[in-house]
Amino acid sequence: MTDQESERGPHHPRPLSPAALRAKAIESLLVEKGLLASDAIDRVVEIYEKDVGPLNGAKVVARAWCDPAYKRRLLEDGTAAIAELGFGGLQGEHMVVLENTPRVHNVVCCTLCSCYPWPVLGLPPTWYKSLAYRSRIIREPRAVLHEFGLELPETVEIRVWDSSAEIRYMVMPERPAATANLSEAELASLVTRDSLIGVGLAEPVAR
Amino acid sequence: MDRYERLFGNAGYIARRIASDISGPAAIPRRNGEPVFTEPWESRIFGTAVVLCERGLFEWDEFRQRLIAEITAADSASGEAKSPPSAYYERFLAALERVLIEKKICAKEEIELHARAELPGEHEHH
Repeated sequence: MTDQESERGPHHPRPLSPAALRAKAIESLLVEKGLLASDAIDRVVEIYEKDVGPLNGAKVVARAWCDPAYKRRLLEDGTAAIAELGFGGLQGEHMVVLENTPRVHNVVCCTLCSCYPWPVLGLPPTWYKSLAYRSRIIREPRAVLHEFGLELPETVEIRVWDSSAEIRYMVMPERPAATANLSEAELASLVTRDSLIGVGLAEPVAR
Repeated sequence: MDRYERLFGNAGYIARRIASDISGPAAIPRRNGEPVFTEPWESRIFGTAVVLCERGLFEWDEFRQRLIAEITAADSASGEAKSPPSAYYERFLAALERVLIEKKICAKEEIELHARAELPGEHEHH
């Protein structure tokens, strides 16, 4: 599975497999019938990767929202508390979980390269590795968050945390309002990847 | 109506049904919780099935049952306990094709016609 370790970039061009040809045929037929639009597929794949990706991190946050004792352990020793839920593979890096509050909003980056807590957050998004994000989030966090669509009141202090080979950070977003009667699994589904990096909030509950 | 459906609407409901299917027979291949698409066509066919389901052309559970049947049939044919992850989306493709035909969304002949048109060197323009 070395293929999966690599970036999802273009590989050497090669002829399409029979399955790829068949998939293309079905897609073009459905488009022709007006049942499908190509950009609708793009949208679904994007939503899906975003929502399903950070499943492990989302479960950690949901547990902490529901269980104050777990939350305490998580903030004291992230690596151990995350391992309690069976998520390992941290390979010696120390996990630090940063709690967002009404006064403090945390954001994670890696200015040197692209250190990322992938056992809990899945693969890093492309922008996380971009030079623009890595350099600008430190200098002008509020402007960068604005570009992500996140407006925070001036009274909220923004703290930016630079990951390293030894320490990986994960943000614990604030629990959205009106979620008192949701189950832990339902709460986990509100925790997006962006909220775990700190460039977004946990999703509000739609009414 | 399911609670998720109230919270997120039909599209979110389907995505989360898929997301919560972590270890079942039809669970999508993942690595560290993230879906693994090894080739672009795999994400295209996945997106196609979800969009059609969102549009109400079939129920996700109907498709899922068909997918489980395809996986089971392929496993017993190969004699191996578990298919390699790369085979998953081939089963997915086969299951979608069967659902499309059974639901009379597409005719088998139409699919074959388009499949021939996709073959290298055979460009039929309609």
